[in-house]
Amino acid sequence: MDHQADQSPADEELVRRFCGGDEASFDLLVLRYRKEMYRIAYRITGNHAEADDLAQETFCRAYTALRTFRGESSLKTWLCRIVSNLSLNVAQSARVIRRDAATVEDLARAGAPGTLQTPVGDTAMIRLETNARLRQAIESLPRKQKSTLILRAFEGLQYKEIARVMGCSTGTAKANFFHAVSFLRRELKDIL
Amino acid sequence: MTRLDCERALRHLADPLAGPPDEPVRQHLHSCASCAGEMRAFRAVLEAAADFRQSDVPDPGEPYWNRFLPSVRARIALRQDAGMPSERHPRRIAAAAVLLMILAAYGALILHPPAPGPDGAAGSVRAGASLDEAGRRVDDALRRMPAASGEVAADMLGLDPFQEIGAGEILDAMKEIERPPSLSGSWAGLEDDELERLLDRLDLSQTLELRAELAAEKS
Repeated sequence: MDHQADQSPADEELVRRFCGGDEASFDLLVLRYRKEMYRIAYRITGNHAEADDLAQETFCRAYTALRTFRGESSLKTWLCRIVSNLSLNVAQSARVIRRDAATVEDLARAGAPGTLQTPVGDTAMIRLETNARLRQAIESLPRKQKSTLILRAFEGLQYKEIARVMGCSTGTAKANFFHAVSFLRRELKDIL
Repeated sequence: MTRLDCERALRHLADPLAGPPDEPVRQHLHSCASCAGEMRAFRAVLEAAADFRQSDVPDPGEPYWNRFLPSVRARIALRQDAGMPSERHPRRIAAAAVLLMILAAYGALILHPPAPGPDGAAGSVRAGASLDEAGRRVDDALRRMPAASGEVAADMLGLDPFQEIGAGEILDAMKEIERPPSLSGSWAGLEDDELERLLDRLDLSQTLELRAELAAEKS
């Protein structure tokens, strides 16, 4: 999380101040959640340009709608809902050019990620292959399962929160997560 | 071992991140190889996912994050310009005025390019000279245009408001706008339906004063 500091005002307080006309409070919320929103958008779309656009769009929509935010869920959950819906819509359309999708061979040629000169050992190679296969499997999940997996396993949201984000029951969220993990298990059976 | 025990264990598998299984489930996993195998497989997937989580989103870097808030703010400001009635109207009028100047500057040239001269070259020279003059007028208009109007004008023309807009970009965008056949360098030459179409195309439907002004010019 991109929180500025422990002593910074709580979300509810910032929302209250923003609704009272304090624009700077909105900026603090953007700074607080920009990385999480970007991460979710990137994980769903797999594309930096899209994630950038979607994360910005999330805050633009939040700016307009924040005065109607009733606080029934946390602000983070509310923002997650906006970014998830926007990202899923984009990912569903054919507009997204999928992520850099480096193959294991590409990675081996280049060395470990971010260290072009570093030779890749067996363990690192296995890890890279696992990650590449996992990425591929996640990308082929049905959209709701994919979002649920991302929100639960990567963003650490509780099922209750995921249910609010996805507009479904807690039981459905659990079922989606279970099916997503089952699918990954089947896809990665030979290497895990 | 009962089917109920297996179902209960599988329910736990649906939420392994919630913590370790409770005692009855743990006991069941000790005695049921099938469920224990499922549990191990699910854990392996989630461990792989946890590892994957560390590396699957490349950090765009500090310069990107530093630009993020200003970009959001610029986007909000642009929408406010385009969408808030209290501020929108005068700015749209200003933008429309600029567009009219651009049309006046380029309209005749676009629609009625100079005919080639007898030697085939003079026309090109004249066209070049006219284009230069029109370009100067547009550049001058753009320089005098308030920044907010520039954004609105860019929006109308379908240009990226964050790009610097020059006469060339304006001209290219203008070429995409439907050309009324009777336009001859003046708005007064437009038929009513052509004027309506052009205004709609320019998204000026709400600038009623401008329409009134143009109607007065026509009459």
